[in-house]
Order: sequence, then C-alpha cells, then structure tokens
Amino acid sequence: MHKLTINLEVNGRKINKEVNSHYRLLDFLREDLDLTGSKEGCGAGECGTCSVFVDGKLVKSCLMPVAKASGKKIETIEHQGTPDKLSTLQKAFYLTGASQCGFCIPGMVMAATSTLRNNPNADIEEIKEEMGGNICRCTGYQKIFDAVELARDVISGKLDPKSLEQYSKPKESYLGANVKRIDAPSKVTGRLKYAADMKMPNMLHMQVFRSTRPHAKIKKLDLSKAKKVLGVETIVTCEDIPGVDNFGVFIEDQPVLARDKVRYVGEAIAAVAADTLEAAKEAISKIEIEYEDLPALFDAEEALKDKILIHEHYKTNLVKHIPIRKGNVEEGFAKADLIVEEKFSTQAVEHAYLEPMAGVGYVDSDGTLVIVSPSQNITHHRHMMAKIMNLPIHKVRFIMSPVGGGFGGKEDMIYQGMLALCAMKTRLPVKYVMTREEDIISTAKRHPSRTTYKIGLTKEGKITAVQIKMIADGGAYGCSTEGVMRKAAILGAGPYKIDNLQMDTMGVYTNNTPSGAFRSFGALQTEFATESILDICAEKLNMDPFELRRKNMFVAGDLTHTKQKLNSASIGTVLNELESLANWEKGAPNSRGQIRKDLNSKDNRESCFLGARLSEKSRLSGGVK
Amino acid sequence: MLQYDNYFIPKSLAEYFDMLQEIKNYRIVAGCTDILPWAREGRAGDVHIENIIDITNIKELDLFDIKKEKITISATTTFQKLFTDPEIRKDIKILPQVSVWFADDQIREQATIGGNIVNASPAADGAPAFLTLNAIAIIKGRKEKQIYERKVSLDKFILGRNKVDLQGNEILAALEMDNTSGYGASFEKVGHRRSLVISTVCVSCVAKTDALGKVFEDIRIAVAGVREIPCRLTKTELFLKGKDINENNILAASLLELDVINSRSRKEYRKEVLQNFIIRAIIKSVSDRIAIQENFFDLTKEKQLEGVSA
Repeated sequence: MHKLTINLEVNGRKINKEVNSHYRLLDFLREDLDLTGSKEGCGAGECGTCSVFVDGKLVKSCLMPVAKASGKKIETIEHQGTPDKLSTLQKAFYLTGASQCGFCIPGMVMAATSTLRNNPNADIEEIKEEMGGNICRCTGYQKIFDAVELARDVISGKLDPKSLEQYSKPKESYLGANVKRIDAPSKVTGRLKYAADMKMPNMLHMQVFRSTRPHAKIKKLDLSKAKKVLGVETIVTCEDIPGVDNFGVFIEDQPVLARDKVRYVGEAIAAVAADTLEAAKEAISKIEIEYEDLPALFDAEEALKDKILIHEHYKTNLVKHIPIRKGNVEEGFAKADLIVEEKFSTQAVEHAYLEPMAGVGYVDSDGTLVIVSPSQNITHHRHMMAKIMNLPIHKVRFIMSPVGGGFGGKEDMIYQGMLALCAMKTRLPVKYVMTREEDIISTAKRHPSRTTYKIGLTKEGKITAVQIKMIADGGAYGCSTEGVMRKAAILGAGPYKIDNLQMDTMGVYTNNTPSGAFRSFGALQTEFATESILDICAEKLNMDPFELRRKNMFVAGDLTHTKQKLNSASIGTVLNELESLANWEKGAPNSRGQIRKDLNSKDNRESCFLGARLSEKSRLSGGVK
Repeated sequence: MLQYDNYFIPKSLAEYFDMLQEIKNYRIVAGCTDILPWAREGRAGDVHIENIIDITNIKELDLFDIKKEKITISATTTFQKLFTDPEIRKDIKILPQVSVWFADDQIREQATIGGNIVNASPAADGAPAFLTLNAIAIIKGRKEKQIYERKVSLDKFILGRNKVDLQGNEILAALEMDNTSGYGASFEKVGHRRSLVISTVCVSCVAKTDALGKVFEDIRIAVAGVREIPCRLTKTELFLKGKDINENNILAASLLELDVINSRSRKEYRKEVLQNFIIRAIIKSVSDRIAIQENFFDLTKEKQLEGVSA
C-alpha cells in the first residue's frame, strides 16, 4: 500500500505520521489514532456522524482525503469534554435526553458546537438550518434542538448553569419523570465503543461476495485467484458450515451463505477474511462465479400462483396465512347504509439506523465462540449459532454491543454466521463493518403490502362489517414474516368494535430483498388502510373523523377482534388528547375550504424553510462567520 | 472505496502544468466532495486511480476580487465563502441564496464553485445562479512553456452532461461575474428533502426595478435540473424588460418557456413546479423594491393549472 507522510495537530497534539495515501481524514482518525468518536454512518457526506473541525471549520471527515488535512489543526469530539467533565452542550444533551442510540450524537454535538461558536445568539431556525447536515433517526430532533437552545441560554448567561442539573427524582412512577440516562455521558463524549469501533490484536477484516442475480443457480464458484491475494487468511462458503445451516426469526429457512442457488440481489455467497480491509476487497474482486439464471418473482400476488418456486422443498411460495373470523360479514354488510371498497398499498422501507451493521467474532482461550454485535435478538441468535456451528450451547457466547439504532432491522442474524465461520477457521479475531450501501441492499426491509378493504357502516356511522385481505411481499427469506402477518391480522382492523370481521393476511416469498421486523411490526400496513378508509367514510357520511372514530372505539368490556375481553381501553383518551393538541378544526374532511384553520396554530410546527441566516434579524444577532 | 497511490498538491500553475506533463493516469480534484461519494457501490464502485492532483493550493488561483462592475473569484472558492462573505451578501444576493440551498454548511466548506461547473451535472445548483450573473469562465492553459488565458461565457463553456470546453492541459481558473448591486435575487429549489439534496427543479432569478419600483428594468432567469444543460430563459426576460410589475405580466411570462424542460422523468410534475418557481422567483426578487400590497399575487390554483395546459 502506498504511504504518505502528514504533519498535523489533532486535539492539541502534534503528529507526524506515515499513513495510507488513500485514507480519508476519518480513516486516519479512527484507524491510526483510535479516535472512534467520529463515526461512519454513510461514507458519502449525507449523515454527519463524522463531523470534525479542520482549522476551526466544521467538515465531514469522510469527504476529506487525509493529505488535505496535513498542516491543519483538527479538533474531534474527544476534545469537547470527558464523561466526568462534560461541556455545556454535552450537559444539555444529557439533560434533555437527546442521546438515544447515541450513534449520531458525537456528530450532533460537533455541529451544535460549531453553530454556537459561529453565532452564540442563534435562534431556533438558525440552529435547525446550520445543523441540517446531521441526521438523527431516533429523536425526531426535538430533544436535540431543546438541548442546543438550553446550552445557548446558559452560555449567554440568560440561564443559571444549575439549570443543566435539573433532573427530577421519580416519586411514585418513572413515567413522565426526567431521570438520568446512565449511558448518556459516554455517548455525548464519543467514548462509547460500538462494534465498528472495536479493535483486537491480529484482527482480520471480513468482506462479503454478494449475488448480483435475483434468482439463479450457482454453476461454478472459483476462489483460486482470490485465495492468492496477499494477506488473505480464509475464504468461507456454505461448504464450511459444520452444523445445520439455516436461520430466521420465525421460520429458519435462510443459509449463512447461499447454497446451490441465490434468491435475491445482495445475498451473501462467500466471505473473505484478510489482514487488511483493502486485501479483503481485492480478494472479493477476484472471485469468479457462473450463474444459471432462473425465472424470478418480484410480485407477491404473482408469486402466490406457485408457478415458480423460490424454496422448492416448501412446494409453495406462501410463507404464512393468518385468517380471523368473527361474526358474519354477509349479515353485517346487509345491515349497512354505506359500503366503501378501496385498495391500499405500501412500499418497502429501510430502517436507516445510523449505525450500519457491524460485528466482531473471535474464539476465546477455552474454545468458546464469541460474537459481539448490535443484535436485537442475542438469545435466539446464540441458539441458532450453536446449531449452525455444531457447538454445544455453552461454547457459544453472544455479546450485545451498543445498538446504534435498530428499529427491528437488527433482529436477523444476517452476518454473524459468516463472522463465526471466519473466526473458527482462522482462530483470529475477525471484524466486519457493512457500508451503508451494502446494508441497504442486503438486510431486511418493511414488508411491502397490498390491502383490499371493504367496510360497511350505518348512516349514523356505526361499523357493521369489515373485510380485509392483505398480501405482503416477504422477499426471499422468512425472517419475521410469520410474526408480522400475525400482528397485521390481530391489530389491523384498528381499536374499533367490529362485530363482523373477516381478516386475512398472507406473507409470500418473492425474489425481492427479504422483509423483516420493523417498528409497529405488521400493524402499520393494515392500520394505514383502516385509518385511511375511515377518513374516506367520514367524508361520505359528512361526519367529523374524530366523531366517527368515537362512535366505534373500543371501551372496557368490548371483545377484541380475536375475542379477548378488554378490562380497559385508552383510545378515547388518546383521541381527546390528539384533538386538543392539534387544535383540530371540527367538521367533515371535505368541509374546510381552501385553507385549514388549524394550520400553523399553537403547538403545530410551521413548515421547514431555508435562509434563516440570510435575514436582517440574523445579521444583527451575530450572523454568520 | 477510492484508492490512489499518490496525492499531489501543486503550489503554482507552473508546478501544476509540469506535473501534467510528467504524470499519467491522474484525476484533478478540488473539494473532493463529489469524487469520494462517486467511488462507492451503486455508482463507480471501488476505484483505483494512480494519482490525484489537488488544485486547491495553487497560488495563482487564489483570487477574490470584488469591483463595482465585475467580480472575479477563483474556481477554488468554496460555496461557504459565497454564503458568509459580507460584500457578497450585500451586493450579489443570489450567491448566498444559492449557497444556503447547496448541500449543507459542512460540505460547503470544501465544495468549490469550479468543481460544481466542471462536473457539469444537469442538476448543478451553482450553474443557474452564475448564469444569471453573466458569468465568464477564465481558463488557463500552457503551450510551449507559455501560460495563456482565454475567456468563454459560461453558457458556451458547459457543453453537455459532464462535458465542458476545456482542452489539453487547460484548467478552469476563475469566474468573472457581474456585480449586481441594487438587484434583488431569489433561488428556488425542490428535491426530496431540504439539506443535502439533488435538485429536481431549481430556478435562479436576479432583477432590478426602476426607481419607483413599478417597472422591470432588468431581469435574468435561469433554470437547472430540468434539462441536460442549465440555461437562461431569454424570451421570458425579454418579455418582462420594460414592462410593468403586475400579476398579468408575471403570469404571462411564466408560461413562455416551459418547453425548456427536457428531463428523462416526471416532466408534467416538473412543468407545474417550474411555472410556480418562475412566478415565485420573479416576485421574490423584486419584493424588496416594490411596495407589495396584500394579495398582490392571488393566483387561484385553477388559474395556474389552466396556465399549464394553455
């Protein structure tokens, strides 16, 4: 590898060092200086997890070749404060609970620091604008903005510094109390080590060779050229699995590495472990493969016809059908004054956790296989891994590293099996960090769905019958499809009393990216259809949408769709709260004319705009530097 | 991943031209905010380039000259400089306007105006703004040990997608643009989100009124994101020049050149947005010159839609 020498100052320390020529400033900070507070969330300048100061200007260190940093002064999150001596901004982040998963937080603290350095009097719109280059997936930003405003007021003397210590002591309940988040100091200072931040002696780097075909037989896989690359320690394929090769959250149908055929674009076929990331990448580029393309299925309804099978041994592409029957829908529709039929569809959605998938695998001195990863499901992973690796359960250990956001996306054991194989084969620690692009193509998404809906109501707005059929695209492997179908069926008709209900949810294999767990787990797709159709019905009945819901909502004593008797129901309270917080303008959805009166009312946020720092007000308060 | 063996940072034009003679297989970079995301999966993938030549330290390119009539700024000027410089903010209002819509504060600290132009993306935000300032590209080259300079107006310099009029060892050195002191300005842009987004449609407008604020004395409008090469709307400008500032004239003008749209997708959507942007950009760029009565532009939705189909 080519090297160059750089001279620079990092956090006040003078450094003269030989570095890899092609390193970005971010690589140099993380790999050579172990300053892992700067994270890599995207590597493309989109997310801001790598923000650092270069000669006092905040930049994204993933977009700066290290050679450019030579002769400059660099300041990272590690220079902003320590867990026992937090900066004012860090204290404010701590107090407002702004650090949740914490992965974006070092970058956020840096962006906030830059904003207040540029203008200590910045107003909220200026703060939002200047921090626009940093993304957070957990908080919805409110707690972060609260923290920056709080810090600003303390710095300017408007607020007593003691106000940064105002945690409440929970009396009877922790609900609603602002308690100290014990991991916050480690997050706001960038000290917390996520999987990608970990390093072990003699650690190898893993890279994965992935399918470019949606459905194909693997005719030939030639690793000979790849194995010759200097630094390569091992290349593993499905042949290396010692035990029973399958995993999945509900149905265990997915191999660690593709066996005989590939079922989606991005499926792992082989994994390389080498002493450098660059060597592993080079080896991947030298793997040769021959495919025999098979006809592929991209549409769930088409897949249900079973003309092409994705998993031949199952004899069908149907993963799971969950039916619910309650009352008699024919009779219910006969009693209706209004019947509305609609179709709804939702698309695949990426979880977009800020921390891309990453993990470290190693074999302990007593032969125990250890996997460190941000897994949301470690106990199940441990059991599956013991079976795959043919190890007794006490020889498999899973350590959950801090999860930089999961949202259901980190429930699948999508890469831990490959780490285990490489670690067991080489007996060396192995690290794998996905790029953002790799994470998006290879990991599970929210189920795309198509829902056919029929609802009957009396003219007073009482629901008489509901018939729902949802077909969901489960993608190439089972993952959480079965559970998602169950939740979709149980919850999809919403918190409403429906005497006559016919509900069918079907998850189907296709050659699309696998679908898996995602926040609200199945309820979203069908409830989106339910709430949308209720608004349509409100319009047709000339009724306020809140009123229509109140007429049908569950109350204590009602039977749920699966005939469970409810001891309590909170939907009424939720509706009241929502109506008042939104300053809801009463009336049917089509009664409002051109401009809604509840827009821009108190508690309702104005739409975003840019240019706050171009205003006269901004200039007078300190403006831009 | 972008891999390279050498990273050269020449300090003078002479050193730069010498380097081009000696070195083969190179890429010229400035801010690097495009090349690093380019060399990733889904775009160029893993790329190996033997040599990178970084032009941001060339002393002859360090130019920032604001004069009463013209401004001359180097190609390596960052967009954040255009956003923060007090003289620019006061007199050439379109530049901070376009900058605030360009990527984000951090990328603007590195991204250069020259890079934005030489990449010649159909969605370049900088290009329409520079076009409304009648920008001229100042090009430097070396022939037989003699460094020469030539000038080409920006509309002729951009030849197509990723194609500009640079020959042999030539380099874009600077932009010469009008100082638009006394002009109002507006930059309109829409993409999938607010920061860090590629334009689906963007419109740049600078305008000057008579002393009373009743007549368009000068107006220049340029668009990008909707066609291969960003362009000025000359017919629209000509139509408005010398005309009264009123609703009818602005609406009529907004319809004249919607046929500039030649994008690969979402043409109808872009057409509707473009017309609305033209109207909004014109009004905003004269709004501090004229006393705008309430409902100055009370276009009903129906009226606009009629306009599009007309």
